[in-house]
Amino acid sequence: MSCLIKSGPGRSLNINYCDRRRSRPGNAVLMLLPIVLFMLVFGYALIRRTSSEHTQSFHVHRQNVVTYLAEGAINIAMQYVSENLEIKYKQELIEDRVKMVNLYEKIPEIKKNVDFLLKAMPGSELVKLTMDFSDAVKFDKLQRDPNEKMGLLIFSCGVKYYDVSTVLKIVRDVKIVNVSPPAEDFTLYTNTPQANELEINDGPSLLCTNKDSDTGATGNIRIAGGEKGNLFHIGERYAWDDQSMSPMPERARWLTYSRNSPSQAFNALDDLPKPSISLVQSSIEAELKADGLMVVKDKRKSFHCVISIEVPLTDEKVPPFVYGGVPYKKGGEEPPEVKPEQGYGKGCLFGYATKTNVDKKKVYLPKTLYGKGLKKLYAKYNRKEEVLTIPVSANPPRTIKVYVYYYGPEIAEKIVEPYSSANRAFSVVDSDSEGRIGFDGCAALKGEEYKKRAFFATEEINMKSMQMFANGGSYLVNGVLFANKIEIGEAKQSFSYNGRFMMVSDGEMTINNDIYIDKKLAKTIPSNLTLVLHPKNASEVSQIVKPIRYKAKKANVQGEKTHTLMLDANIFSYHSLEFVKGENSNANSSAMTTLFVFGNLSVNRLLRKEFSPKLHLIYRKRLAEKDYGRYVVNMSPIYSAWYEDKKGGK
Amino acid sequence: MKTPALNSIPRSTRDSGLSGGAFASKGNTLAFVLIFMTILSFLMVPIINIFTYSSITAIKSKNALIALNLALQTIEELKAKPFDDVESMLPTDWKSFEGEWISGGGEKIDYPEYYKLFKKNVEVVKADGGSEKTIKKLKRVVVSIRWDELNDERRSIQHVIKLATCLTAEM
Repeated sequence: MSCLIKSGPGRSLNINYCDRRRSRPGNAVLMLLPIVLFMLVFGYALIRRTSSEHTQSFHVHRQNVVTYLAEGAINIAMQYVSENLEIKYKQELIEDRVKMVNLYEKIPEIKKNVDFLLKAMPGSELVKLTMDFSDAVKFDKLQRDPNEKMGLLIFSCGVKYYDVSTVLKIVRDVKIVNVSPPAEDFTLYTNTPQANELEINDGPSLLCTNKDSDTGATGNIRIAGGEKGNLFHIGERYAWDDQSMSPMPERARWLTYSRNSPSQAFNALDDLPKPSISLVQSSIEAELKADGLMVVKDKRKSFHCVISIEVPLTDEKVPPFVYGGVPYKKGGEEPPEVKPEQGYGKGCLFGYATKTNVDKKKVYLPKTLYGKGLKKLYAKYNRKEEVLTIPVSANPPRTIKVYVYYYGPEIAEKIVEPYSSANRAFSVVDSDSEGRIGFDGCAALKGEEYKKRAFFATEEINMKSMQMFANGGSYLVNGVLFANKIEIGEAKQSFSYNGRFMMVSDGEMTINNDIYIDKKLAKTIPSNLTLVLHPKNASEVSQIVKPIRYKAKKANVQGEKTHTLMLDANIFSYHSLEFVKGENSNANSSAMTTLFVFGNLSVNRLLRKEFSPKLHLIYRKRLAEKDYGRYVVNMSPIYSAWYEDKKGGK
Repeated sequence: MKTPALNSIPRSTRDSGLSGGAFASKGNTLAFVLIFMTILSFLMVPIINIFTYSSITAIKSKNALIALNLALQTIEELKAKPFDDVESMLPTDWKSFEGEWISGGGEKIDYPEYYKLFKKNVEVVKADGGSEKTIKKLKRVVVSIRWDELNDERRSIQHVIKLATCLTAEM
């Protein structure tokens, strides 16, 4: 190979490079040395890289180990705390005394399980395991109940594994809520007066048993009255005709009977269903004790008919309206043998016990009976009475004695403030002197207020979505469940529960089957359910809101087939209750059903035509007063936050 | 300055180069090549070792990372299962990662062939102490991933990595 270099005009320089390279053979070594050096450096770098990758994989493994150990330890702690939230920590949480609790040191059970976990990874070590309650705030600045709050429960766990350590923090929301049913002290509570003072007697029969046989508590009754008050009629339990929605004898019918043949009136009365407490002695000579216990003084077996009459007798000597209790003949004897004044009357007035203690001559009555214009019954209820004589037979002329009770229109004292409609945060009429609004024991909160308190809020709750609370054959829930639409039970499946909780809807609610407390677990788990339907558009003005709907169920009671629905629950329904035809009963109308509520019923307005002709309220007060028994603490089912700070292994 | 003409330089000087002489130039080249080859071969031994070692380490770290991820995957699968379905495997029962890995939308992805090397074992033990309720609702889970690897002496050795945690029914 040669190169021609022109060094000047007409001249050239020819260099033979092969000759020159041959002349310097050491150059080849020098040229290869950098290659070797490069390979060495490259190889070393490769070693460093792969080694560090390998080392890094171990560090990553150690980091994973500490994370999972810390998570496991926190799981152990959260499980324990969740189980003991009610028993051990509720009071401390309410009183804000949960501050940096060293769970590992203080709870042997946790220590044992954490140690057991760490044993699976030799070389691991627990640095700390604590719980702290912080950032507690009220649900509403103006809330009256000082104990209701929500805050954060922060679980921290530090774990070390060789050169790697971590501090894991898991945050859970905690809500402390009051699950007292609205109007808890009342068997029946109505807020808004009926359209007229007689309406309360219209529609189905309504029976209140005010004595809680389990706790001994006595329920009150408040029937809101308008300007004219309410006209109550003693003996509300019968129906003139079983198939009739209205138990009230129609005026025309009564008059027809009385005009044509007075005996027909007696016969008509005689055909009425018999009272269930016919053995009760005269209620005339009785006094009501302060605790609602009426002691029957009169030991005579004769019993005077008890009838309430709206207006004085007409010229025809027949009341134009007769409501409530009616006389009937004694023990199957024929009318001629019956002395009219000895006829038994029915005594199923509001608050009257169904099962009276006949031997001890005791009958339980409501402690108080509230209502504008409503005066007191018997001694306590400020009874007025007159003895009238009503002809029941023309030939021979026979009469029966009738006691008449008057109520109103005078306004009685206002004992309990009614709750207002849903346009306030807390449904109470007035704020107190400090401007606080809140809970007066009768109020129902607005739907959105319950939603804030709910630990589980969703669009729809039914038996399927309740599966997460399944606890064997029943559901175990503590707290507030909120949904726009709630279906309780199914056609073939009743709803069995334990725990203290509320199911609240601001849309619609349907009860498909019986609701009952699982008695086995109830011995150890305090149980109470409150159903609340407080629709969004509910207000005093707008009455077009949905009632709680219920379906009857076929039942066999004492050998007789009936249609009943048994509810171990307290009910608040802004717009009363409504019967709907169910799949598991051929009852076409509410006339064929009996609704038993073991709890209380509170409504804005009692719209009685909508529901069962036989509504039996059996008062139950299941929430204990002591040890914050009406408060429930809930931890959110999912983490609110997860924070981890790892050190080492770099 | 004028460059002298090439033909003016004596031939002997031109041919001898730096070492000078025709005989020296021929012998020197071969010797240099041999010496160079010797040196190079000595140098290449550690270099080749470096690359071999590096390659082995790369495989090791690849295996370790795969095992780590498989351990994570297994423990997360257990966490996602209903609590009652989290059950222990027999201590001798090591299950290899093969077959279907991910499926959905009518498509499925199988485990890579290489993953057959890795085997898993899950040990589930109930809580050690506490109330009956606690014991029922706590499970200690230990996930082990095992694989075989050649060591520096080309012998097969077994590697195992473990992850341990505690699962609760409450969550």
